[in-house]
Amino acid sequence: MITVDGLSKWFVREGGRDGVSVLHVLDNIDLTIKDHEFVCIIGPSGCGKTTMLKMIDGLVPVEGDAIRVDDVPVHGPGPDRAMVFQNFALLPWRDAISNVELPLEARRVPPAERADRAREALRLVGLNKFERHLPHELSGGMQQRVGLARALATQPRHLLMDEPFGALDEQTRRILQDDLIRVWEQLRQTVVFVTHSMDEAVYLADRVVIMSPRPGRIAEIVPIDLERPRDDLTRRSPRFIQLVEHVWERLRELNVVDAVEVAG
Amino acid sequence: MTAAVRVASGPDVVKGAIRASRRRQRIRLLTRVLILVSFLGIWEIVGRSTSRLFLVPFSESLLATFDPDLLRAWGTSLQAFVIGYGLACILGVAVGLLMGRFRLAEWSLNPYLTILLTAPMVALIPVFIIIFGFTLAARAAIVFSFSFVYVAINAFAGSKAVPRELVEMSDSFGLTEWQRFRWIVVRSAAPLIMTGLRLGFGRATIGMLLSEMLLLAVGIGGRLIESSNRFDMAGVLGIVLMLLAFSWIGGSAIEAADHRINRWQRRRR
Repeated sequence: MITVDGLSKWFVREGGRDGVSVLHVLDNIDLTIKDHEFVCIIGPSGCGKTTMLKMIDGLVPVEGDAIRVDDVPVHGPGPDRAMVFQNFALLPWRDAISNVELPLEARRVPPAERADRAREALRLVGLNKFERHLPHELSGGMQQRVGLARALATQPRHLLMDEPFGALDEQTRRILQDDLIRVWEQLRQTVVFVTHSMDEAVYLADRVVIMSPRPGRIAEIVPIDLERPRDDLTRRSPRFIQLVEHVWERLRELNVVDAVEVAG
Repeated sequence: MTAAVRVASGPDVVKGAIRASRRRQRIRLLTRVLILVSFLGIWEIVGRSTSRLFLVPFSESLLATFDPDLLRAWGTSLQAFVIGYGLACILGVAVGLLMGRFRLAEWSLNPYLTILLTAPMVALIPVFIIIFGFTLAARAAIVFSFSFVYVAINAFAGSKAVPRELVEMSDSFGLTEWQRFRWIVVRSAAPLIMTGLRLGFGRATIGMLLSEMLLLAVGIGGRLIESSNRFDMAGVLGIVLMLLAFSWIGGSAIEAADHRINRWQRRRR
């Protein structure tokens, strides 16, 4: 279980009029994510959704115990969580399997077990035939599969995904969404998935968290009552379209200030 | 380089494109060889038809290199070169990576390296002679001082070239400092480190020659001065040929190592 309780975040940077500039990123966020739940976080650019995800991972410092994972306050990354990055973050000089093995190597998992687990993870994401390929020999979608396999190989309880399909084209994106759901239905980690695609959020999630522009607040949490397993029929169902429209309405309301500024 | 293959009507088009690409490659190689041959040819002809004091033909210059004394001179020179350049490589990479890792090292050392990068190192030669006398140590120190900065500054730049997302990834997966350094920083820095070694090699050669020509009159630089004083044109040009070969061999060896280590990067292009 991931508990976010009264989380606020300010970034203080050197520079600016008074020698420092302060950016209020997150404001008093409360959110509880149950085990095995798939939650998507959506919001306008700069609303702090990625910052919140990185705080859950422990990459961005958290004051006090505003974030708890399985009742333990987060003060840094841990083996119970694994991140999938927007820009894949693969080592270009390591082939697919060595990239997947990296976190296991860091944890001193013995080589044989390491290779087994990496191979198993690559098989899960459908890349078993590409073990020995370097990242630049793989397409963007395949590279992100490696990124996903790397996270899965660490056998995390919670999977944190930062706009993982944002850099991919629409066709690839849809295929990866389906594959992610398939993997998740087998393994059932908790997934926190940051996205700016409304279709993607509704298609994947049990609940969609809509955030307001900076400072980020939770504007609404939309339960997604679409049946699983989901497939192309889901995308065409009236309920799906209705939910996407609902999310869009809310986001548009939140962006009203922005729209006026552009018009003026 | 690969040919732009436009598959319009099946394998014949592809075959044609491959053939065209091979032909272009052959032409390129042929042109290169042609330039070399005609240069040597002109040298030979001009050498044979002018005063021996002005220019000696290529063939005679080449023959002048077959001299056991020259080999001994090379031995003397290479001792200083190997010690000086070897130390510059090891310490240069170490200092550069250290500066990449520790802010304090970066802030305190960077301005000095920048100054040394453009400073005329020749001025240091007498200093080293005074400190070490006319010794191997003096020559090695000169070779070192000529090449060190180039290696260090490139290694530093390389260690700064680690993409931010990789640092973030390594934090997220709990890599220790040392693991990150070995698995990510060193590998990211490798292409620029190799560039530094290559630049350093050329500088080290200059240092080696200057130390021998200006003050010490030993080794291959000493022989060069000697031949020149005797107006032995064949001897001078023979040594020049050997120096060219030396740079070429050294440069190619480093380049080959670079291609091997940084294969992942070359093939991206």
